[in-house]
Amino acid sequence: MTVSDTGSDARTRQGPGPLPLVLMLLPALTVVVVLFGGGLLLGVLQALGHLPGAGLRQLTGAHFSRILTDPDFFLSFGLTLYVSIVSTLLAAGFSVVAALALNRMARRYRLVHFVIQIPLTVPPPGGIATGIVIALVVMLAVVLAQMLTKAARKRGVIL
Amino acid sequence: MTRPVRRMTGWIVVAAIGLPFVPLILWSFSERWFFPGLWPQAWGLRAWTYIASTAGMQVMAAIGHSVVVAAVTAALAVAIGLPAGRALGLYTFKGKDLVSVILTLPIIVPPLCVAMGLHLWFIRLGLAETYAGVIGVHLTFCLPYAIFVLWGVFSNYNPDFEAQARSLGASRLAVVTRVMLPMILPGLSVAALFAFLLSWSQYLSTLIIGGGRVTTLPILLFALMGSGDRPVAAAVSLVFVAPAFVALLFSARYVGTRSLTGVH
Repeated sequence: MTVSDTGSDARTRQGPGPLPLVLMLLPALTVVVVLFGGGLLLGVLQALGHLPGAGLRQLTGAHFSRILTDPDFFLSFGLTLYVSIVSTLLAAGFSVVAALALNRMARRYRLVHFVIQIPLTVPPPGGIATGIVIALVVMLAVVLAQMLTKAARKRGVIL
Repeated sequence: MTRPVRRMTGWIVVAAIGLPFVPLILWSFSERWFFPGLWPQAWGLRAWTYIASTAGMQVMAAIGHSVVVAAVTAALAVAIGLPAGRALGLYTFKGKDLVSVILTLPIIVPPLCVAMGLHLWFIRLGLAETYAGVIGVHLTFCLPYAIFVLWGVFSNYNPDFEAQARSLGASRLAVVTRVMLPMILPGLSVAALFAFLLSWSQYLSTLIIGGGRVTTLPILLFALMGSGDRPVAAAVSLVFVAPAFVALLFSARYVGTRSLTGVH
């Protein structure tokens, strides 16, 4: 008996009726709609110029039109779009290859299975620290490469 | 793809993940490490003594705050996410797409975009600069992940076993504790681990809602890293990663290699 021994699936299964479904989904929907939705709504209102605390009550699209006519905004918008598209493509390409390789290895070596989960545990601030470290590694590699080039030049391997 | 190529790609990925930790460890034990040196010019325990003595109380307190916030957030995310994941994974119903879009909203919308709105909203709710507020804002980001893991778990789950247990005289409670929970336990622990780690790493939301009053480990880490003392920053980063690492070690042992097989 395993979890995946399903005789039926979500499309063919008889539902438990509307009330139990609502009760199952309500807590999650409440958290997201009340906590997150409230913040989102206030954010949108703020963007439309509604700030009662500062005496601003009128809704206006002026802030949006100012952003949309600002060339600097489009520059940064374009850069963001470029970075995310390129990294998505690279990630998609590399991860397919890596997933194929790791799927087999993770089954054989427990250590590999463990190691590939590590990035999950390294949170953004830790990521920044690792970023510094990666920069450092690159720096060291450059130094090493320079040393090797110098040595090679001395021995006349290259010009 | 041939086997050697596949094997090499695998080891490259493993090395890419493991390698950044090596200099981090070296940094934390270095006294002096200037540019051209491949190794630190002088070794020492200054960074670690600083963390253990001068900043010791702060670090311990921050670890305590982080553990409490992350554990409560993970428990709530799993408790609220379980029924929702079950409803989404087992059944098709009217408005399922709308429900799933609403529940994904906190993942789709970048946190920076809602930061100001969330801050105002939490002030109005009286939750700003409180523990409950920080847990609440973490929950909005962790819950969607927990729900999506459990959605995957339940779409591979066969509720017929529950009907069989019921027909054999098991009570409703017994069906939950002795049939459902044991069957979904691997996926459930993955969901809890995800939520825990996501909460553990929250910086921006903790800063905005906690207002610097709830000093979790990321808040302290940024403060210490801002001082520009690299060995100390490296040591704090390692302290920061360690508990999460322990959680992962525990889950890897507990969940095993097949843990993620049922997770979409």
